[in-house]
Amino acid sequence: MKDYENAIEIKGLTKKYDGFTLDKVSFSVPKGSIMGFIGQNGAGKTTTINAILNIVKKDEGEIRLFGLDHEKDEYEAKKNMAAVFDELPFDDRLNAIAIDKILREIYEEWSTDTFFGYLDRFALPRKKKFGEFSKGMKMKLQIASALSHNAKLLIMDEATTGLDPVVRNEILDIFLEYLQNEDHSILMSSHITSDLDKVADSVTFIDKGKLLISGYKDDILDSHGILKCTKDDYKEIAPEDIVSARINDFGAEVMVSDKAACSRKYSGAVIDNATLEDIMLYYVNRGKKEWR
Amino acid sequence: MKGLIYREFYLSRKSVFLMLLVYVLFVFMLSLVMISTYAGNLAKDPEADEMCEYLYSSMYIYAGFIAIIGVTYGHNDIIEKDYKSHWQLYSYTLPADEKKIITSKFVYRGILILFGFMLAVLADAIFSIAAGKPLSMSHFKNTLILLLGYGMFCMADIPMMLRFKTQGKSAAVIMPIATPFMAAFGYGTYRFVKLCTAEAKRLYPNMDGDAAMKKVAYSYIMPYRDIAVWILPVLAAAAVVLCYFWAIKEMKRRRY
Repeated sequence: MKDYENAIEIKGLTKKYDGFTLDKVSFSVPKGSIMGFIGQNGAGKTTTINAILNIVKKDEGEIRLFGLDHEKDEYEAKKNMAAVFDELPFDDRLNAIAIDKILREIYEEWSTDTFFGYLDRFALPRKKKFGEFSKGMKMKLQIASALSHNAKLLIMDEATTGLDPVVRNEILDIFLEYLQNEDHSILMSSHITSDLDKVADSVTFIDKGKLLISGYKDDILDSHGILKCTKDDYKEIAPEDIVSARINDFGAEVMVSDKAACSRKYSGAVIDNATLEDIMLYYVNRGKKEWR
Repeated sequence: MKGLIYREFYLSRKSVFLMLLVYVLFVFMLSLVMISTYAGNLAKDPEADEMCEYLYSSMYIYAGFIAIIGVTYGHNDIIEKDYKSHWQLYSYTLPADEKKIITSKFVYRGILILFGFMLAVLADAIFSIAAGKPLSMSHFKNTLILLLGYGMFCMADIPMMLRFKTQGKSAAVIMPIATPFMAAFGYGTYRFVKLCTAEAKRLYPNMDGDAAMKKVAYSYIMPYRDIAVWILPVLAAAAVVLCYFWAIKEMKRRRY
């Protein structure tokens, strides 16, 4: 594989459905980084991921994986990537030993030692049928199989949703370990923004099929803030500075997209740091401008 | 592709093994009955020879059904379970194209059908030894027709299941198409039996009714059976090729 800068590069990705359009989405996942892909239900995250995996046929745009065209060089790219979905895609009648035998014949770089190493680490039984596994065990198994063929890119679609915090934490640690190799990258779609707060290097946020924010997480968190003020002070804030504002009986909490400029412009105002969840909430409500 | 074939094997091995057990029991018990007609308790029966002849001339076809249909039965619902277990979606993320995925299914099902055929031929050989009769070419031809006829249906099941996702839906589509043919076949059989019975009375008035009818029926069926032995392999090969490309098309269609 030739040298590449971005594990995933998407330019102007468009997919039209009846009642929904993924509209000219563009972003990149740099090599060696983990990107959080956030958005509410129906925002277009799964459509984007399925388009990357060539499960959804794009109407327009360009997708490159490791610098390769995702359609023309599909199988070359897929040798080096792994997808993890929210449901285990293995039949309930199979067990880990069978999966090892199956996948080692499919992936050239499959490592049985790595796979069983992860199973031992996750305390997953080898002979137990998957039908008897809990949701957490199924997810761990899926991650173990995704990480056992030396995949350079891991694509996860809501994979940590529905897992308890202990399991999620364990999985996040594995991801951080996986990223120790600078050739490895992760695109992780999730509703649980606190997970992304912990591990993501960059974040892409889409809403209603449109890309709202894409960039380094620290830059996004640094630039955004929640300005807390009274209702009267709120009226003084220029509309162009406001993403949206949450109004309550005591005052207003205003999301601003340029914290530094706003702190200069509205001296004396308290501007708190925003979390990814705050950013998601305020941006989703940007159409209303004011909400409760 | 080897991994994909392994997968098909792992998912169907239990039911293949169970049907194998049924086959072994059936062949073993029938063989004992046949041996008993000349070397056991049944030898005292005045109709023992007739019983042995009847068992040898008909039971191989049941053994053939158990072998060929039985071993492939457990593989028929795998595509439905692939959809349920999300494997169908996951398979598009593997470095294997639709051709490889479909080929693995056809190869494995082909192996099962051939394995079933070998078991059917083996059952006939065991019955011939048990009955003390020479191996029958006629039995072999009938088993071959069973293999080719069922084999075509079995291969067509793959694209059908990919298209309709569930066995219930596939059956719901096939039934309205097949019903008029089944009705025609039933009526044709009735007319044929009537004709053979009348012919048997006319040609062999002194023979036992069943034996005479069988003789007449065979004189009609045998030439067609021999033609079928030559034509069916060509039809089956064409059907497999058609079903293979249909399955690839369905798999591609399901991707998007």
